[in-house]
Amino acid sequence: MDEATRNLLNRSMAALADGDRSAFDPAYRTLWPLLVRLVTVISSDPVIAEDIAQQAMLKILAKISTFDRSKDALAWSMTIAVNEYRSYRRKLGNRGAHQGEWMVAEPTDVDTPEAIAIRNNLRDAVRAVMGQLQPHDLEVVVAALYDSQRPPFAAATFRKRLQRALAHTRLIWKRYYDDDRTG
Amino acid sequence: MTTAPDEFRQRARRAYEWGRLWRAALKSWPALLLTALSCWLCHETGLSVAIGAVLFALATGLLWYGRIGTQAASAGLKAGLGAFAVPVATFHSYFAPDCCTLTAMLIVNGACGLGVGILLSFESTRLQTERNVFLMFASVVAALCGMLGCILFGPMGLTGMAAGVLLSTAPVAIYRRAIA
Repeated sequence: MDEATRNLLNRSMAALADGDRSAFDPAYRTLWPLLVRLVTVISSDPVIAEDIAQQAMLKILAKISTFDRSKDALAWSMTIAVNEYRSYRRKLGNRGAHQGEWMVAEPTDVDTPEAIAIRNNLRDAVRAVMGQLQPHDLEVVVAALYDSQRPPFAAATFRKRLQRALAHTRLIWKRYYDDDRTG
Repeated sequence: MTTAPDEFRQRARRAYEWGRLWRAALKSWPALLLTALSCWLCHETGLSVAIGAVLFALATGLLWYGRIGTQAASAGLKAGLGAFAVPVATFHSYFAPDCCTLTAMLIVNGACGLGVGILLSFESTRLQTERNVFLMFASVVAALCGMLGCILFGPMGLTGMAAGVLLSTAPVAIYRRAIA
């Protein structure tokens, strides 16, 4: 990043902190690619990076009134982005731990009447949830599940749409069954 | 979940405005403090809450807007703390048991309002632009703070404070406008 861009960012962020709404676009345009690049480098996953960068951007803008003009806007913003990435990792770690506990509680014997009944109930539940999905989400999920012919998107777009479709699926599941780990 | 760029830009803008509003509400805490003190000291809860609500909304709005609004709200609240404290200290002091006459009340409230107005007029001269806007909003904030302390004395007390602030700031604003 060159000195002129850095100065522009400092000026825009200071103006935005003072309430000058005309500085919103310059600050947003300058900061957004930098955030995405930083989070991509530290997470090494472009799809996740964009999510985290979005969260970081929202947090930066929500907190901008507290920005100290004597400090460097880039360093301040990057600190928030790194913290956001750490929070994401922590949440991921916690979720992994919970899922691990749940996996242990799973019945191992698949031929017992109980296991068969659970499996059938789960299958019905999944069908009901899949039936609530939008056609475009369903198409992407089915293509990913069965390795069938993929819709005509680029790989990255497909990944993004799949992630979105899975998020929608999770929401519908939670609406019907509250927590996806209690089945 | 990732969203389209335009949609995200709007979300970012909303986050900025809500963030500003939240910080503005937090910075307006003196308004709540003065309202609570006014309720406690003046025993006119309805009127205290009404004036306090207007003061809180005005201070939050100005701080949210930013720029000259922030400066006006900050200066108004600072001066307003004085405008609140002087009449309250005077009329609740054990050292002044006989001062609660109409004349004394008008003199103290009016003089306090005048002092605050002069202070804010002087403060406004330091600004490069929008001096009158600053003076107007800062005066209203300070007058509302002062009025919270004058509720005990009824409409006359409130009028004395408001008149004091108005008398000291209006001529300054009119003179500035005339020579501009």
